[in-house]
Amino acid sequence: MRRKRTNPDFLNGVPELLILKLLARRPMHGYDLVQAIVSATGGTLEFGEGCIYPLLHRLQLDGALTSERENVAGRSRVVYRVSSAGRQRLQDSASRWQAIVDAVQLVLQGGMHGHATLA
Amino acid sequence: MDTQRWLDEMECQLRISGVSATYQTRLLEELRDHIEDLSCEERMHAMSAEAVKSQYLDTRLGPPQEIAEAAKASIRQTQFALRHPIVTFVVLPIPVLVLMWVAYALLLIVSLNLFQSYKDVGWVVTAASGLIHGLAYVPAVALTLLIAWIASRSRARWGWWIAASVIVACVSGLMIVTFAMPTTPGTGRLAIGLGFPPDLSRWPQIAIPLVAAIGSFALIRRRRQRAASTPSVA
Repeated sequence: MRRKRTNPDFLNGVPELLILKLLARRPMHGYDLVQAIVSATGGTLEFGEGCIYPLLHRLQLDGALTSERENVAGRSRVVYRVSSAGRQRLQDSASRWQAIVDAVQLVLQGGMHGHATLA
Repeated sequence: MDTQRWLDEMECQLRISGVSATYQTRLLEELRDHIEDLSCEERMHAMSAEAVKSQYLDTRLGPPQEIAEAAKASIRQTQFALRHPIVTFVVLPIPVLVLMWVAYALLLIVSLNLFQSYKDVGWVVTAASGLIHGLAYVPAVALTLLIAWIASRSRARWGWWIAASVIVACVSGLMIVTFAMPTTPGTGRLAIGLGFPPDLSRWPQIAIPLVAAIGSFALIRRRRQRAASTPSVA
């Protein structure tokens, strides 16, 4: 079986944005969140599912998330929620991401003064 | 690789990475939960037990070494103040305030030596007197503002911020600075020390750092509220 590698690019700001965005919709535990990411991105983003936990823990330490052990479908699970600081951070991250997307889009479309060619 | 062997390997890698025992327990607990969910998923898809075991965890969760590295990197990215709030907001303010007093006193000695040649000029004497009395206020206010900056930057909880500010204000109340201008050469007197318990006559030394804390608290809160009231893209 092919070994799935943790995509280092995935660990560069994008997971934080996705995690905050998806958890802002509804509280989730780790496995649930991984399924939500796979489903929301159509499986485009590949990553080791275990790497989601260190990210969740960091976001919690930063005050962006809160967590609580809760009973979910008859099992005790750690459920994560976005705090008000996390919503603010999501807003900042989303704005930053949008600015990057717009800038890259501009380049791909040939830039303000460039040629509209893309090899 | 079966579940227990994978978890043993994970534990070993976490130990190597040097993350705390509490964190190791937490991460392993959540990974165990995740593995249980994976097992349920496999049962639903009617995969063989062999498929679940053989390298499956490495494929789905990622190799233990990578997860341990991600955990270590993640913790390193977190600010010191958030990882050690008791040290940052309860323990450190006292020695830092003492160091700031010492630094201020040293600067004071240097400045007073510079003023020596102008001791007959009125405004120089007033400035020197202000600098001397500033020892009771300036380091405490500076430390209060530093704490506000650290707390705001690390997004530490308000409680830690308040605790640190109160500690600084109370310790500041212990500082005693008495200064008498010389009327004849050699009669000037400067005494610096600590007085227990804090004397009520020194209440401004407690109140001024607290006012600085409340002011910075209000300013940062207002700034955050203003930022939060901008249209949301989430």
